[in-house]
Amino acid sequence: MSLRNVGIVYKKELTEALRDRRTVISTILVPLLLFPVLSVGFGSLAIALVGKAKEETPKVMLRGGEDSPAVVEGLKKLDKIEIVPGTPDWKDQIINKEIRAAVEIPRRAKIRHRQDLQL
Amino acid sequence: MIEARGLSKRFHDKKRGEIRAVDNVSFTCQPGKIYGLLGANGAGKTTTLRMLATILEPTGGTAIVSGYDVVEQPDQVRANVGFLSTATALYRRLTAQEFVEYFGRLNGLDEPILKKRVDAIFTRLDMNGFRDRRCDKLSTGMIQKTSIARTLVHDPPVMIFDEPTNGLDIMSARTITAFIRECRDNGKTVIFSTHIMSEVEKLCDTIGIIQSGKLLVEGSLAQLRDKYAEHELEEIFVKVVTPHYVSQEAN
Repeated sequence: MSLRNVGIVYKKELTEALRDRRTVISTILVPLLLFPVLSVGFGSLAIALVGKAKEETPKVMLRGGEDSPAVVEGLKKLDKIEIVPGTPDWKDQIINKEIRAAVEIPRRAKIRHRQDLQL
Repeated sequence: MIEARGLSKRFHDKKRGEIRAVDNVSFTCQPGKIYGLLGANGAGKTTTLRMLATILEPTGGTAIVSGYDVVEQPDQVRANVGFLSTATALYRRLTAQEFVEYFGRLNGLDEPILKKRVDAIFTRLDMNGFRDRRCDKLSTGMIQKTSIARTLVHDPPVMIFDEPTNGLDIMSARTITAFIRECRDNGKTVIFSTHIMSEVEKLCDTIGIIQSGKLLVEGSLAQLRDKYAEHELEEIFVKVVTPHYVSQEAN
């Protein structure tokens, strides 16, 4: 088939396709309407989720620290985290996303510098 | 002019084995004459015409159509042939004019010539009232006229009609038969297949009776009447075909 005939057939097929309501709806209208809605929707959702996560104060479990009250007090004063008392099921709580992390304070820990407590 | 030379077509069927749809058929159709191929269902009429129109490739023999060999020069044959059948569908979402123009372009017509041809054909066939109407909105008669316009648009010297009035009402059928006569009067070579005896009696200069893929007899209506001592073509047909007839179901 010559290139000229290919062009003639292509033009005819395109004309027919564009006159078929179902083809136009499924290949042009639906993507035109649906894709922006989906893009905006997913974008907004992501922004909302990230914002919510930022606003949320992460809970951190303290384990130990009985002999280091200064360290515990220092951590409790931080307003970017919420200190919760230690429990044995800390691993499950992390898995269940009830707490963000668990911090184990070694024996006789001391604050040498104020910056040590900055997150 | 059409000259079939030992034209044959065999198909292979898993259950029935080899089928000789057309078996060594030879005949000649002259310009300005109508050749009628008469046969029962499954006799081989459509297969023969499809080989002449290069829709099917012969498995044996060949045919010369308007000076071109259907096996060796199918493109040239197609450019010189108009093929009309009631089974031919239109492109539903194109208008009648777009449909005819589409085939004109495929047949290599330049735009100025195409426009002139389309205008002339639409006027001649009284189609201007629906030229911008989509094909899926056309009546049966309009569809027939559009099909005729499609076969005529490139002004082919050879016209092939495959059971052109099959399933049409009397008015649509008359449009077709008038068109076939007009083609003959314009000097075109016309061949058509049918199993309607009255059409053959009215139209054909030469009649070929085909059965089981074989051309059993051919001649003018007068010659056939003399040969078989019968006046009615139907009686002649039955006399010729009966010894060879195997019903389509049995076949």
